[in-house]
Amino acid sequence: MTRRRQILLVVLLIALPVALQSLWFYRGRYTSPSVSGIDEVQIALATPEYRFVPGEPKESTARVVIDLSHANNLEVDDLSPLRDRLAALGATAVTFQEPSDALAAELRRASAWITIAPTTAYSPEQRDAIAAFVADGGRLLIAADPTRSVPPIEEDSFDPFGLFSRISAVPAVNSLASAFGIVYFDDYLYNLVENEGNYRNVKFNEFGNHALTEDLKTVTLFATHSLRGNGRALVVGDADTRSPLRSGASDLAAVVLSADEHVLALGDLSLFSEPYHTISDNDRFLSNIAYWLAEDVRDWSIAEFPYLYKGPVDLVQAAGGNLDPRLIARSAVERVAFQKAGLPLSLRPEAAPDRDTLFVGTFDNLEAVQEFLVTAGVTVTLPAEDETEPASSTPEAIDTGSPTPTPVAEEEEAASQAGPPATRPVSGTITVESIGVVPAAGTTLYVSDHSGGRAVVITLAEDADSAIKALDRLESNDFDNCVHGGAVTVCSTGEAEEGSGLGSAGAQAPGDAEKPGERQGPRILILVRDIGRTGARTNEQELEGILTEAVYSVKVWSMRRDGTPSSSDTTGYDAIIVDSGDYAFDSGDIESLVTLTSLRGRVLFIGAQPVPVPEGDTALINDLVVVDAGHPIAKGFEQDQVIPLNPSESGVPALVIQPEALDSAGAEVAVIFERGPQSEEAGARALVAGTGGGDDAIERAIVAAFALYQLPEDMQRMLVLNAVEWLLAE
Amino acid sequence: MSSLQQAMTRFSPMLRGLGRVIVLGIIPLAVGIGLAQLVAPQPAVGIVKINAEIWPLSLNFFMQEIEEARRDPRVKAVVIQVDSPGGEVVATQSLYLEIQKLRSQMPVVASIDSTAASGAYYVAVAADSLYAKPSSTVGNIGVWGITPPEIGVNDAVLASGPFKLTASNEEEFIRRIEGIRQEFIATVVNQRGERLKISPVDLSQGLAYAGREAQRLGLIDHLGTQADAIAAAAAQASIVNYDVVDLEARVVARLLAATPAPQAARPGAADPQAGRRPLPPGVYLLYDAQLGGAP
Repeated sequence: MTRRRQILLVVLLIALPVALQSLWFYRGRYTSPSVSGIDEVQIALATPEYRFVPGEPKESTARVVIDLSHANNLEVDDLSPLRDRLAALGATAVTFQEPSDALAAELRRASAWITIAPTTAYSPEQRDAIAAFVADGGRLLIAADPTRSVPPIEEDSFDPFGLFSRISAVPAVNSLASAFGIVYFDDYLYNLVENEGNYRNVKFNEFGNHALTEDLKTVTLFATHSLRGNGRALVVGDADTRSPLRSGASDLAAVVLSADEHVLALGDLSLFSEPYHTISDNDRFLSNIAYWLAEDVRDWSIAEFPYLYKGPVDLVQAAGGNLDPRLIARSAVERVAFQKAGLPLSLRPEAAPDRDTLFVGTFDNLEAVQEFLVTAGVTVTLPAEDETEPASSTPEAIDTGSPTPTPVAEEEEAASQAGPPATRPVSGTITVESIGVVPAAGTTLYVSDHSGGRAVVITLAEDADSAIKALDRLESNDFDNCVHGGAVTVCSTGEAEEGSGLGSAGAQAPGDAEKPGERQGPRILILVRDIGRTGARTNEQELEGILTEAVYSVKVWSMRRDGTPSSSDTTGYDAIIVDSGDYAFDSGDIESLVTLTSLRGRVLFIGAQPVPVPEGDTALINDLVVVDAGHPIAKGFEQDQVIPLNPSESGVPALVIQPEALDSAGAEVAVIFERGPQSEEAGARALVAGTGGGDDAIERAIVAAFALYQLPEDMQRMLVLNAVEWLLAE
Repeated sequence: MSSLQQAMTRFSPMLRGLGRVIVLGIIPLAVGIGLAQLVAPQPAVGIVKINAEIWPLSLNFFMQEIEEARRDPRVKAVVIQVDSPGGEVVATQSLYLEIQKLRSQMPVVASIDSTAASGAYYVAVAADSLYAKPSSTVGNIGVWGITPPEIGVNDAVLASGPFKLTASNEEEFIRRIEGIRQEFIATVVNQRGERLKISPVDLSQGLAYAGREAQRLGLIDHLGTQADAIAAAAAQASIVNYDVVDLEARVVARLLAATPAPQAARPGAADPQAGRRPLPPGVYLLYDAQLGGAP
């Protein structure tokens, strides 16, 4: 083998394993792919645009109340931009943090109400009060925020950021919003396509047509609930705006307006806070909302007296001439009441056309208020003076009959106004377009007027005394026995002139035939002792209903409304029922003592504490037992029957009737009901009846130491009719 | 002539022949075999395990595995075995870039076990192709962070600027979160290219998908096991009859040999006693099993 061949062989033998192994393990070469980097254009971070809209000063008389009484998850400073706007518009913005029972009173003064981020629910009473406020024209702003949930009571060390232990505040806000057809969803809106730096900072470009969305192009909300309402959606998300809860839903709204356009609901409250209110057109939106709140469009009526006034008030005697000294004295009382409302009150001889006014007068001198009465659709028709008015030696200052008294006559009038004049019944009628025709006698008329940029309230009655008393009703806001018709309120004392009202031929509606014997039945006075401590209710409505149906002639006298009755007010009745409901008898209650001790005749005392209570003689009563079913008062009840009572609404313990009660000379006392086994002091007297003697004494008396409403309804009727029948028996 | 000389004369052709065989045959062959081990060693597919949350500490470990792959000439392809919920942003991005660099040298295939969420998916998407099981958890693309507190002023601490103490404010933090989100989305879009069948907007939802759904959306390429991933990596590297090397075990062995101290706890793991994981300040590409409600 030549050397060359040897070398070749060696090389071959060296290369062969390498080649074989390479072939064994490798079948190609790896070519690395080209790996491109990210184009920086793909990373685009926009900075927000801040746009501030300066507030436009305006004069507004609105009172905007910010409700912070529901554990609201915000600080007052959170609303600084909104408050600043309201202040610039001249509106008064105040916060409300009082107990819940003060809410209705605060609503009376408000023209707009703001509820933001509540975390406790509204009670049905509060909801009804706010609904009534809205129905009255008040404006309501509701706002919630997904980031404002119910704060935890204790900080959870295992969940410091509250991600897992979050309690939603949506039920709380819905407890109010649902009353207006608005629902908050427990979600948040997000947009992954177009947003303000984060998916939950959603930009809205679609708006409902309304003054609230005027001049808006883009509003940015920073985490907002979605809402649904029965009115219109004002701020709506585009097709890319989604909700993690409402999958598949479109046109998701973040701001809605109720159907009556009095309630505005927002799903986000960052709009009201720094610096979010200056992003996009948020500040413009905030201005529009503030303007909407500052528009005082509430239908102010006498129910909101004195808050229907917005500026200094003049108290003016409707009749010209000298001022009635009673009005002068009364003006001092009124001034105090108005001062509490922050309103100055002045007594003036004449009304100024540019000032808020309170007129007080009687039906027979209406010159100063005639234009207002005409506007309100009120016509007072009185017979000519010579037909009805006897000559009076002490003419009343409020209702002067002479149109142009001479100076001498005025002096004489002024000199004769030393004491209260004699009450003079007024004949005639009052026609109210929205109500009907009512007799002037026994009627008090209120008219309110807000035309001409001023607030006017007119109080008219049949005589001076009634006119002054009418101011009491205004102050106490007691219109329970009144009828409202637009700007007019007609209240009645319950008395009617013979031949007027239901008894008059002209006023009787067709088919409303008089029931036989209705006006001939015994006369019953229901004296409602609705004054004193505690107390939730009395039962005059039930009593009146039962007795009227049974063809009794009934009159109701409320001590709270009508004052302390004189002895003449309680005479002339066949029987008297003194109903004190669940009012407690106060030892300082002189008025009641005077009233009760002046009663004569036949009287039923019924209530938890119907008569003065000896110290310590009270206990809770839960049931009754019939111990004398043979007594006429117990007719229809069974002997030993146990009657469970409805619980007392006020919790007032009832009088425990002692054996010596009604123990007067010659009195025969029967025990008809005793306290049942479930009551404290079981076996003690609960209803007793006695007959007395003597001309000046009570002839027959029943004392029932429980409130009528505690009895089952059918037993109420039975007991009342039995009791009255027994009282009237000879 | 002596007997030896006679023996030599009789056997010398045989000896010469044998010598010739040895010199011209066996020795070259042996040299060739030895050279073959050097020039064409048995290739291997290295397994890099990313099986913990990605923190700076665990990142160091993962980097050593990758370095091990680079250092070993036998390793011709790498399979990244992923089972992680993600982690801290910068650590994740570091790992991503390192894998990108590795791809210039050898094919990298990701094999997803139970979870490749958030930052772990960010890392996995750096590979040439992705394998997962039908029920693996894949995706959760996005970022979250803890808003920096607002610190007022007092007389005890004086800083040179309003955000010196927190390094950020809410507005800047929102921008930062948004920037990282966009970076993440762009990375996925870039790496997946036409394979991606889901829009960037929908990716931003942050949803995690099951493996089968992820394949349909183009977030992964195949449903298969680690063996499938290994085979794919090998095919891409054009190697056969290869070895599989556990690079994590190598690193652990090396660390154990170097440091006789007790084995450190798995980096990035939660405290086995309390079950809690401390969250240092920062932003995270992290899928938190608790947050996701995973069993």
